[in-house]
Amino acid sequence: MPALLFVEQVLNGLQFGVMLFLMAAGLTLVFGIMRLINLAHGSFYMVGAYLCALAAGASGSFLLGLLAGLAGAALVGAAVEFLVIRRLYDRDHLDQVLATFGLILFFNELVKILFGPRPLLLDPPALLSGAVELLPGLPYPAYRLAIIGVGIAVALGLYLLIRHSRLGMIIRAGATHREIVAALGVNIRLVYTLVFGLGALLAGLAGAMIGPLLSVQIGMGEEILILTFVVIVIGGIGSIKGALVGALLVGVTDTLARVLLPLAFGAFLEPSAAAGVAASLASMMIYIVMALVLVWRPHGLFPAEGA
Amino acid sequence: MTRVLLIAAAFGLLALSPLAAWLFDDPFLVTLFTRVVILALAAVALDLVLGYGGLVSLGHAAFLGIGAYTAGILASHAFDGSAFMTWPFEIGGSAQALVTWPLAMLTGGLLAAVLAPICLRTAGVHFIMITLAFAQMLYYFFISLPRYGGEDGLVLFARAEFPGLDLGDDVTFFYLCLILLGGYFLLARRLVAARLGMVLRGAKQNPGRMAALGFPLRRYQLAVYAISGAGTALAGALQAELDLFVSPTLLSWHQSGELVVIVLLGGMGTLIGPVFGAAALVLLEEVLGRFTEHWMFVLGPILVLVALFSRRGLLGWLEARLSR
Amino acid sequence: MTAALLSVRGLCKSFGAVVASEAVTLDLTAGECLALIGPNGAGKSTLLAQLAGALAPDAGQVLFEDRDISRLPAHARALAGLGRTFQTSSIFPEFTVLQNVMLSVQAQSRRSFGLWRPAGGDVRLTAPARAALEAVGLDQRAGLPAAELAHGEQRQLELAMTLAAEPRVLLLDEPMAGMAGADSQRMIEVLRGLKGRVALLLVEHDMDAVFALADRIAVMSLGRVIAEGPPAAVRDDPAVREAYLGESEDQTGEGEATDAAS
Repeated sequence: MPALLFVEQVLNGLQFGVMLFLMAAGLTLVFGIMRLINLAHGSFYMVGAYLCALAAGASGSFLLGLLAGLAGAALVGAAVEFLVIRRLYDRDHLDQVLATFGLILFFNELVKILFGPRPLLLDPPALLSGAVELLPGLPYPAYRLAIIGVGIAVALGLYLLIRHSRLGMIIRAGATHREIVAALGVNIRLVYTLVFGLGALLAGLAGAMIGPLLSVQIGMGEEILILTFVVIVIGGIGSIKGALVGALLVGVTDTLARVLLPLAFGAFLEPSAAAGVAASLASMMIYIVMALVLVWRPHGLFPAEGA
Repeated sequence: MTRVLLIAAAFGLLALSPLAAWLFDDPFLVTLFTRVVILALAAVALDLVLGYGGLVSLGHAAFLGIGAYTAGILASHAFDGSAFMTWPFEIGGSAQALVTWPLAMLTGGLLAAVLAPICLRTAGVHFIMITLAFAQMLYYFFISLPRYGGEDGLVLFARAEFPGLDLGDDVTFFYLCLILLGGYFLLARRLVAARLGMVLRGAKQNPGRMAALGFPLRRYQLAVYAISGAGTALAGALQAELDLFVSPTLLSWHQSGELVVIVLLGGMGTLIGPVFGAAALVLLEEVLGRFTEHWMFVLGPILVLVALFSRRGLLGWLEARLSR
Repeated sequence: MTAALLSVRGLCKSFGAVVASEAVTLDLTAGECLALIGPNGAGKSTLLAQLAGALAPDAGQVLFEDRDISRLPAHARALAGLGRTFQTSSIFPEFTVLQNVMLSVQAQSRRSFGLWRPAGGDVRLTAPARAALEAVGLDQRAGLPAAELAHGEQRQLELAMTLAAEPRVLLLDEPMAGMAGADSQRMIEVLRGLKGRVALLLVEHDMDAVFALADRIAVMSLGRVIAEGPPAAVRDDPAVREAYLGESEDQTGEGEATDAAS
């Protein structure tokens, strides 16, 4: 395999990993701080994607679409937290699974009623529609590079937020010493709503950005949600650092497996058999990685304190 | 006492349900009630690990799917006379229910026994997610089998043969499914009160104390997990016979979620609750589906309300009403 | 001196910078009661957890009847005859009092793959369980859900579960904690009845109980055993007084019991 193609696939893997990180950051924060399993996290991703596609289509501006997706996902997230989720914090994980499963059905059907069952398509913004020549002979889509850039920016922003802001301090303390934080007179309910809204916003950002790469359709949230679960389980539930490492690991593993395995099996199997086996193994690869990580470290790579 | 009455009522009503098809002159109702019975079987099996063992499996669709595929693959080989495998020895297909169904249970139980040692290393939310992930893995595995229909699934041409019975007759098939549900239910009910059940329930309440008492917990949890996997796989085989169709959808995580929903809706840790849960969910779908194609828009909020306000499900509600 | 039944050799455990056990060495002979005292944070519970197998030591050995059990998991140690009670009552709240104890009997029987016969009607489980309940005076409460027991009764149940396993060594983590006068007096009587048959390692802050029961006392501070000997000698040991920061100076001087639990 030519080295340039390999570099390109690694970049694709990073871009996919960044998407997963945006999803995983919110999910892992919500679990780490509020002890809540949210199966409906993928719904915010879908909401972000639909609102972005619709607003961008109507206004002709991708930036407006992006803003609509972000704001919509954050608002929907905060509303869901206010109406349903906050009643689930101290409940059994099972109740959380049941309620958020119900929310998935609700949101999928709502989107179908409002926007119809047909997938939407979205063009990348004109500014980023070209390619950048990273290395001589390696043009790479500018839009995908931009996604990677946004991911790095968000990771840095989250790091600064959690390390150096007052909200971050409460978040860090809240994860391990809930009662103390509450006793300090911090409005913990508001903090929870903010954290949940922030998670929804990041999911919405991922959804809005994915539009030009994949079709926007019902059920898109669940596909990425399961991968997100794999990411945070590998990384250690509750850990942002774990989410980042897990996301990049899953993104790169999955992308490379899909490219490299067919080549590897093609070397000693006939083409049709090689394609079948390789495709099957490639789809299963990240789950195999997860199983191996958990056998090695049952609480993930970076287990959060108290988790 | 109320519990025994409700068990009798549930099985009695199910046994009489083909009458409804006759009364309303709607043969489809038999298929609908067979679906209730099959889902109930899978949900009772899930309740063993979930309700009594506190092991929240969000991947039981894997067992449903592997059971369905075991029955379906054997039937398809029997149909075209080909061999399932030729090396190191030849295994052909089979259209005999007494061969394919026990084999479905065996593969389901074995799969559970292989996965359990890995899954049981984890607990709580990790357990939920690792079971989910293994089910996904199997989902992609079956999607990538073109020989057995891949993503499109596998069509069967006739129900399995059963000595002395014509399973092609929907009512006969219904009653056979009901008998199997009854048998598994009885086994499960004995199990939870027997020594193994005590260990299982103790481990749910206080695993640390169980270890201090001297129980090597994982081997008992593994045993129950395998029994649960076998029961769910049998349900999968029956589902394949009912639909004459097997597809990867059976392994989807929606399917796993639906099984958990049935157990919680009916009342977990009761065994009979999931039977009520299966009936409620199937009938709810059917009734809502007649009014609107967007029935999930109504079902979703119902599930949210059940999660928020009903800790003990339908059975808890029924028992409270009856004992008043 | 007879050979030690349970022998701790140079046990070390630290959590990051915190040293919980520093080369702890102790011997427990058959039938004796060794009380382990020391201020909060001295590492007593951590030591018990390592002996019971709930926590793995960084270094050192635990010998039970001259057999190295350092690598045995908790359940295997329990089956070998090493019983344990917990600092906070650790019971099965949804089971009845009798079922709680039956579970302990069942663990010892090593027959738990029963799928069919109801455990509740099995006299091989119920008879020893009832006997253990009688021994701690809980036989009248056998049918009650364990969650409904009062605090003191839960501690008695905890002990009954451990006794039903017929251990030869009993690790007791503050059995008197949170108990009021009559209850704790009763618990002391039960434990006194065990002495001679069962070796007791008693972690306790209630000095009434310690001086009523202990044949020997070991004092821990900051992860180390700083003194060990007969009760009277330990009481007058200057290092012990210092470890307790003199807070009990006058009382120990008068030979009174002190509660070092702060």
